[in-house]
Amino acid sequence: MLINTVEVNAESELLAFIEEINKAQTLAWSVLLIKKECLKEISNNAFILAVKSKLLDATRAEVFFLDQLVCIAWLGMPAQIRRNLRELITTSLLRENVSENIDEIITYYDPQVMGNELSIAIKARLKNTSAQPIKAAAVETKPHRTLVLESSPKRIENFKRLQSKRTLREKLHILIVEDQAFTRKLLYDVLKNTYEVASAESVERGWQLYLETVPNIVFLDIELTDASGHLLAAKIKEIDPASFVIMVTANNSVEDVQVAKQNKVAGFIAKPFSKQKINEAIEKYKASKGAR
Amino acid sequence: MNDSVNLANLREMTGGDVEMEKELFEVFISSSEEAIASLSANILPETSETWRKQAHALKGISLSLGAEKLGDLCKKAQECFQNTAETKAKMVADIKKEYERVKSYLKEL
Repeated sequence: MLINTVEVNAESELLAFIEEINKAQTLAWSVLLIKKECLKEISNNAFILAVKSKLLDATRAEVFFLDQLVCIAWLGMPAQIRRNLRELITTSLLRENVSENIDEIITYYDPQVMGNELSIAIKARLKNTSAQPIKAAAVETKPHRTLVLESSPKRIENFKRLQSKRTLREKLHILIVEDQAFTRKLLYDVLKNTYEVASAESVERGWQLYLETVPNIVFLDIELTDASGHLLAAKIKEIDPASFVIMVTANNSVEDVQVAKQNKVAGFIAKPFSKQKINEAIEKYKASKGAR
Repeated sequence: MNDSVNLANLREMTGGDVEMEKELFEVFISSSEEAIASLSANILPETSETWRKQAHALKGISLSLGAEKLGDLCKKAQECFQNTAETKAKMVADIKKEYERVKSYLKEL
């Protein structure tokens, strides 16, 4: 993926770009505007380096450095990348003593805001900014960073405490780790009325939620955006030998089955899954609960 | 049901909850458009891995919805991720065409 930061002629370039993506009639571009005065003084390249690590599998990205604003536009994964960028900005890129509300500092336009509405909104936001062309270099990004799943001793201690009470719950706790919003929502909606359900869109978030919720059952996708689901399955088994993880996948490769067996997962469900398959997995957990 | 979409499995999952289905259709449409736009932008060899992932993602949600023909086209696209840009451009066109049929069907419900 390439972040295109061509020679920018401030607003006119940005508005031309907005017109271009409007013409493409796609619902895929997200746009984020950040108040420059609230950001730390770092070079444009340093800013791009920080941002690019959060763009994951975005297929294109454009960064515009304006006089009073920085604009990041990207193609793909709106919600996840928005969260990543917001977290990056709030934790690492803001000046100290910034007292403004974060929503005043960051303006986000999701991919549903397109056409004239987006143009008008951007123009309104730019109204009081003056053009200062700034040149920035193009930077190539790697599709994935190396993911290391860590946990503090305190979190592990808390996990162990909850772990001992897991089998005493009235309602089973289920964790869904699935990057596809549609499949995640489908599974969540099906289970939510009967069980306590949490869901995560990435391996990293799934690991955090595993430690926090200590679920009875995990439905885990294999091909996730930030890393393989096998990594999470192995990590879970390492910390929690009594875990009950069901791999859910549209791929049925021999390699995946072998790795899953090595990780001692409780089962496999092929996509598209049926309600019956999900219920069978839950019944399997219930049946094994005494033995585990 | 038409020849593009078979909602039988999805309806069994949702228990016929119309609101839930409506929300799922919306998520399907936005996710699909995102994936198709990404496929279009990644037909060149240097981004073939992104192409493969997007085809895989679209395959998964299409099959979960019951859009089997679309799922099959995406499966083929996923398997042929190292094909030429010309072949991939043709594949995206076919995927878009089938996606539009699925979308029209969902909008009519």
